[in-house]
Amino acid sequence: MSEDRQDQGKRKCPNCGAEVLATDDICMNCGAELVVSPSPEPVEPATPAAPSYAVTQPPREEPVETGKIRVVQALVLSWRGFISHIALLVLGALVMSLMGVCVVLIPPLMAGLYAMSLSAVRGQEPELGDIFGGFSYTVPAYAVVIVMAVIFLVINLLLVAPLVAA
Amino acid sequence: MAVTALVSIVVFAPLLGLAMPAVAEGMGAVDALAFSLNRGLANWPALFALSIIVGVVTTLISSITGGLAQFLTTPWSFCVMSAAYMQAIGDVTKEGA
Repeated sequence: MSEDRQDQGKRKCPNCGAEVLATDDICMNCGAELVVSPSPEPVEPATPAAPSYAVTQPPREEPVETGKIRVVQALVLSWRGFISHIALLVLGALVMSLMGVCVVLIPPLMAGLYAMSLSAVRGQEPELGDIFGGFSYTVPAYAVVIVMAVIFLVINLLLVAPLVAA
Repeated sequence: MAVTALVSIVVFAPLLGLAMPAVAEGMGAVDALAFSLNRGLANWPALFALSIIVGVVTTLISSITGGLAQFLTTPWSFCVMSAAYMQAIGDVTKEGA
């Protein structure tokens, strides 16, 4: 009888199949979180309804909502990436400034510095040579900068012109 | 000058700031601009806040340390937009945060 009661108090982890206690919140075998949710309707009124379990992924593996930008998270991520590769990134900015004397080189160098920044923020190892990798994207980099400059100019004219006329 | 700064912070950085990271990832110009505009409109408050923070920090550090600070603030601001870009494409987990 006591064994039956003990068996009733045990369930299988839906994630790995290991036996877990009904009161366990986390599977001791795989670490999956066991969430107890009430059964919609008891099958036998005489016996207590067995709790059903749902497995949720451990929080650290839970993906963030796709496409949603979070300010604090972005700042933390960027700070970690920046601090961990600060010397290389500063050197990259220095190279961009020095070569930026020749203005036509700025767009591909910006793309290159962004490639370095992306590697740093992702936790990968950026290399100084990545800044010159931006020259592989010279045409789109130029196109983006030109479109941005035109939009910037138009908006400024639309805002400044009425002020000058007044 | 104030109008230019206002345009830059309110419109320019939030809506077009993700275009260059997208280009650095190999996206074409039209796709990068469309992606930036699309994600920028969807996340305008967050990108606006990031623009304000980057602008304020950059201005403060520049006013204290002078022009040399740009070698620190420029890569940091690039890292901020890179992090925002990564979130915009869903390339981040809570562990990464």
